[in-house]
Amino acid sequence: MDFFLNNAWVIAALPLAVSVTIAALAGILRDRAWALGAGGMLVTFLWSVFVLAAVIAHPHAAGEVLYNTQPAWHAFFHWADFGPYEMYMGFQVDNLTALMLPMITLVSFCVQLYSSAYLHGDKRIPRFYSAINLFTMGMLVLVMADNLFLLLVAWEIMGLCSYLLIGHWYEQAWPRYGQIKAFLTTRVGDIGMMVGIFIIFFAARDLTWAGLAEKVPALVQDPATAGLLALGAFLLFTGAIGKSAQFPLHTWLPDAMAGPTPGSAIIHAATMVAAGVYLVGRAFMIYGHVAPWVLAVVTFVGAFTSLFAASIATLRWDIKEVLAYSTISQLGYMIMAIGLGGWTAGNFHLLTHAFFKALLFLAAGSVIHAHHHNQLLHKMGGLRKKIPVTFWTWMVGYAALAGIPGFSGFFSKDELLLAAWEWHNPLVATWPFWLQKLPFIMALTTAFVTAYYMTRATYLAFFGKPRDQELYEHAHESPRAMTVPLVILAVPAALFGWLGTPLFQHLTHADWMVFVQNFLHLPGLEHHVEFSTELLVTGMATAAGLIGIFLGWYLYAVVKPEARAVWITRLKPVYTLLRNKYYVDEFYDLVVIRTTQATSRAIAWFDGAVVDGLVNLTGTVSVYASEVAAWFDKHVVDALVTMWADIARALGSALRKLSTGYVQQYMLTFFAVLVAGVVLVQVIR
Amino acid sequence: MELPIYYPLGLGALLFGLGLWGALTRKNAVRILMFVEIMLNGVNLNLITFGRYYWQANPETAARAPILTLFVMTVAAAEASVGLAIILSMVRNRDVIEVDKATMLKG
Repeated sequence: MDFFLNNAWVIAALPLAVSVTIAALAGILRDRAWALGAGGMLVTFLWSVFVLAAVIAHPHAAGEVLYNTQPAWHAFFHWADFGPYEMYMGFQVDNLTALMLPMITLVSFCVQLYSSAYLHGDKRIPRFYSAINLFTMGMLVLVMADNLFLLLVAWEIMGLCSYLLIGHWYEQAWPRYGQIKAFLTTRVGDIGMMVGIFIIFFAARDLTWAGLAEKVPALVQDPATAGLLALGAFLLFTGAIGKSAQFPLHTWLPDAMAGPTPGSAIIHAATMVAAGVYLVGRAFMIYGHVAPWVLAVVTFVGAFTSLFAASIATLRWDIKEVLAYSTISQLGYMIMAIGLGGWTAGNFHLLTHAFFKALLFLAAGSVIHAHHHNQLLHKMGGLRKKIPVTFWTWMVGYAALAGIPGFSGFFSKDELLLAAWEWHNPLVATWPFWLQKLPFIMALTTAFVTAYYMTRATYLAFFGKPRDQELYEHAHESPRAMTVPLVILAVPAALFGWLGTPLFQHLTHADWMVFVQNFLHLPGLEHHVEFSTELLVTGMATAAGLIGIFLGWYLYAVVKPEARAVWITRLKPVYTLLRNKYYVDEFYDLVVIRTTQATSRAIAWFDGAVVDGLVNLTGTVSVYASEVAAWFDKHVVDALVTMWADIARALGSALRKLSTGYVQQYMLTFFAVLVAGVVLVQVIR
Repeated sequence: MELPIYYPLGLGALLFGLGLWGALTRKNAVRILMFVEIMLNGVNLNLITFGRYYWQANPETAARAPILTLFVMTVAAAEASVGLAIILSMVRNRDVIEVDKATMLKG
């Protein structure tokens, strides 16, 4: 086992090698690329499982988890010197990473196996597999990175790969638009994140997790450094806002649905969007120590996003769009949980959500595949008999997401609501009671709305009468390659949550449960919660879920469409607002895009009129100045030069008269001068 | 009996004057050259006379007295040969011997 742990770098290296190989041999592999991709990912998954087993067996597993001061495996090298500061680069595997690795690789494996059938006949299969393996590599590096800098590198690799995956069918307008939107919107958050990293490095002179965990508690004693770190932590969170699609940068995620459905599954379940949550959780040694307003901001951004996105999802007609807004909503849950100090609840929900959301996306893909690429819910209906495997696996994912007791989502959501109920934050303690409970109320409402919209989507797709008879007649169950991954994912989607329950511990008494319990119940962060409180929260959550389910069922199964139309007319403003997703896209279009365009136009005008004018003016002035200078050269400088030549010539023509050519004259002159000289000398004496 | 210094000096001056007169009045280049030689001889006589009268008191330096004369004679020979060569080429190329007809160097 320790061999796998000590060579954990293979987990990142193998998908990279597979990706490069597929890209290099694209012409040879073609449709067979899936075998290499899925095979490589299966090996990676098994390796990850062994790593997890080794970490569980490791003596450190029982120790401190949160600040990761002692990862089970840590390999690094001296990377660079910045003056007196040294930077190290490396990989580490600690408890959180060890839990993330099998999740990422399992989802990636299922997605790749699934794509072999889903993308059958596509002309760019090697491109898809190369990108998806690189994508997985990016997420694996991100969770194994031992410092913020390497995390940022992996973060950007994923940004690139999401661009490639969303734009897989780049001949069409929507994928092109979606890929650019995803890339640019996340970039807005990334800028804040980069500045945050700079600020943290400036304040702490260190970017490794171990170094930060060691230094931050001492640094926050100084008010100036504490303020800097709080600002850095906040800016770091803006990166998470972009990547995890939190309000107000959530708009890219629904448009990322333009890619192939398996690509959506891996982007929106296991990898990219989870990275933002992971970042906030991983950097909790900063968030936990800086000013409490940072975590309060994180909490409210998450809580607001979850409710906001869930309310939009209630009126989507595209099955993938429902899931997209559901993903935003669930990510808001995780962010909120971590902001509340419910570190384990957030990360636990991250893991369970990854399984059931990947399952739901793949099941939705299977529905779309069965329905001849129709994604619209109002053309579906009654599909449960036509595609039973897809139906039952979807129902597992549905139960997990809606929070039906016993399924994984129930347990993690329960933990999360408990964290919201018991919000411990020094800043919050001074607030009025209702404000303290506001995240809980929002989360509970979200649980209700989530159950409602999932019931609605499920009913519209699988129950009732077929709304489009022709599509229904031709519907067929997906091939084995697509249903097998669904069944594989349904297992953790259903059962994973049981790991967090005391019941499971009582039943098994397994030694390795110490690890899970340490992961889920952190010493230091854990507040004692009365069993009655726990029961109360669980009861409220379950009730909210059941009411949501009932309402969804009632509105769509019992109420006639005509009666629904009446309600829609009565609630026209709300309906329009929700149908149009609160006009956020229109707002951005108006404020950001139009402003940018107007600014660009103004700048273009300024360039054309003022800058060009100045340049032309300079040119004209130069021409005139040159003419003046030329005149001066010609009439003054040249005149001076000519003057000397004229003088020389005048002197010459005067003196040449002496040269007569008569030798005897010269001789006489010479003699006369000699005599004159002698006489002169005598006279002077 | 000691020859008075005026005689040789007078003879030298006479020779120089004769040479000067001839050099300035004659037209034929060869003659001018000959008169120049006479002028040089007058000068040489002058030099040797002074040498004889100034250095006879000291026998050790007396031997040096005619050196300048010997130089002048050497230079005169060289000058005559060069001058004659110029005159020869002038006659050969231009068929002119009179110096007042050879005025190509007029400025």
